[in-house]
Amino acid sequence: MGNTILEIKNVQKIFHTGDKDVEAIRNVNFNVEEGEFISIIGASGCGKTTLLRLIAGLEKKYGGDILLDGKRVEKAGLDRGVIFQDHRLLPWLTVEENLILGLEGKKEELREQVNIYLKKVDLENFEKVYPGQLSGGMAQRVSIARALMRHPRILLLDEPLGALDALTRMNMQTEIGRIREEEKTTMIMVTHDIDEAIYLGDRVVVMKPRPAEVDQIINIEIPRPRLRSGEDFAFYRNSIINIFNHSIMDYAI
Amino acid sequence: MAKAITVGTDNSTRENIFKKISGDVGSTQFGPRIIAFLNTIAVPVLLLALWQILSGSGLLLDVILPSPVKVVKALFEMIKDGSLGVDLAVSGKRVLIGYLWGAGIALILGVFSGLNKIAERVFSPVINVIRQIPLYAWMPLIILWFGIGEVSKEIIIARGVLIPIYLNTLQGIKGVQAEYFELAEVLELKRSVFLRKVVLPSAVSSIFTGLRLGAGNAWMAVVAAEMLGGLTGLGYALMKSREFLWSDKLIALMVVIGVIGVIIDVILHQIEIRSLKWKRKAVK
Repeated sequence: MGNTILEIKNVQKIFHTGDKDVEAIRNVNFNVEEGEFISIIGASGCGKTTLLRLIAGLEKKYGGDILLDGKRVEKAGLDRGVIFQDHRLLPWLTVEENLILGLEGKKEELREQVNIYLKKVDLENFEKVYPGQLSGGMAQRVSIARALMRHPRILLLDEPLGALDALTRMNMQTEIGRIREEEKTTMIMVTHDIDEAIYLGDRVVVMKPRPAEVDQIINIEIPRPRLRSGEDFAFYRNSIINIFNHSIMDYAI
Repeated sequence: MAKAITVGTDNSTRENIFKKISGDVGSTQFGPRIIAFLNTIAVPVLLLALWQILSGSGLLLDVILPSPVKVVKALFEMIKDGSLGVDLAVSGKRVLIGYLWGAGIALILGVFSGLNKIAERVFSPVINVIRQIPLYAWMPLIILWFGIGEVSKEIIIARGVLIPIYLNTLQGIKGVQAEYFELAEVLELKRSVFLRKVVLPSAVSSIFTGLRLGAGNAWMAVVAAEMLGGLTGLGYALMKSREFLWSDKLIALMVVIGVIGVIIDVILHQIEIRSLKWKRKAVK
């Protein structure tokens, strides 16, 4: 840690819908250090996904600057891996074909890469299987492998576990934590699950809605591996719930 | 509690549950299959019986409605003297050539229009107008221009094939989900890779629907084209049978046309299923 990899400076996003302009994001500022795990949390529809899509380059035209390694983000690219809420594997391609989609290189080398990365996500020997044969959690792991194989500078996860059941979700949180330890990839994850945000994040960015603004940024100082049942965990959970309660009150008034 | 654990870990139980979910149990038993078969043949058997009764009753002239037995005899006669084989070969060749031309043009235009807004604006209105004019209305002009030879028949068939394949291809390609365009951006897919690995596979189902509808049209068009002119083919054989009042041959030929139409459809459907291997394997 130490090097700033991503700078978000005065970012503003306005959607033009018909004759109305809707401000989705207002004046967001924070930096992400290399190797850091940032959780972004906020109520549904608060604009946190829009922020992530801006970083991914999937939303164009915004105010302020998003600088990745000092370069302004204008479009999507391989230096940012994206994990969507749906696994977004192509159903007509096998796991292997999905993983190497668009990659160039010798067949044997690509195959070797496939094996290496499937092993990383605990899915050895699944290369000939079609996505439809996988469970939701497995498919999401393949999609993580697909992103990692392209060696992104930063991995962007957009509510990656939102479609999974509670148990699979917990296993996947552990899995993502493990992958991150091993790969040392910088990650930004958007979620609406407070426990998930605390469990994985070095810092939790709490956002308030309409337009999305940074409410508070909380350093999570719990040693890893973290226990969801620990006292310090409960402390952070309560602090975040308190922040939410306040912002809801502000909003109501 | 103990029971719940056994269910969870006992593999044979889990497999059975899985089979039940996927409906595999039914196919291993005979009863449901027989019932399904009976359902399928009920109406044909009923019609056949009605036909036999009517033709045997003496109420109708033999030339109006020959008995099923007579029709089968006529069919064997046509097979034996070789006339059916010749007519089938001639009509089959016309269908094949007309179909390949029509399908080829429709696929190219369809893919092109699906990918390019300008191409769609150029071709779609033209195809739409062509579509509104019935195939039979085209025939006099086509015959006037190209005579009653092979070319005009092939053009008539190609015209019949063109519309459903173009429309379904266009629809399939335009139906590529927006999510996949995002994926292509994120993975920096080249246009050619995106086309081959994403656009075409996602349009395959729709394209096959077009190909199957087109094949049906081709088979109908060849009979219609041959009834208008020429001295060979199934359509011509139909007209000849009518002129000579060979109603048994006439009905036999109709049955042949129907059966072959079904066979073509089944073959195309099988190719479609093969090409969609991933769908068969998916756990639903």
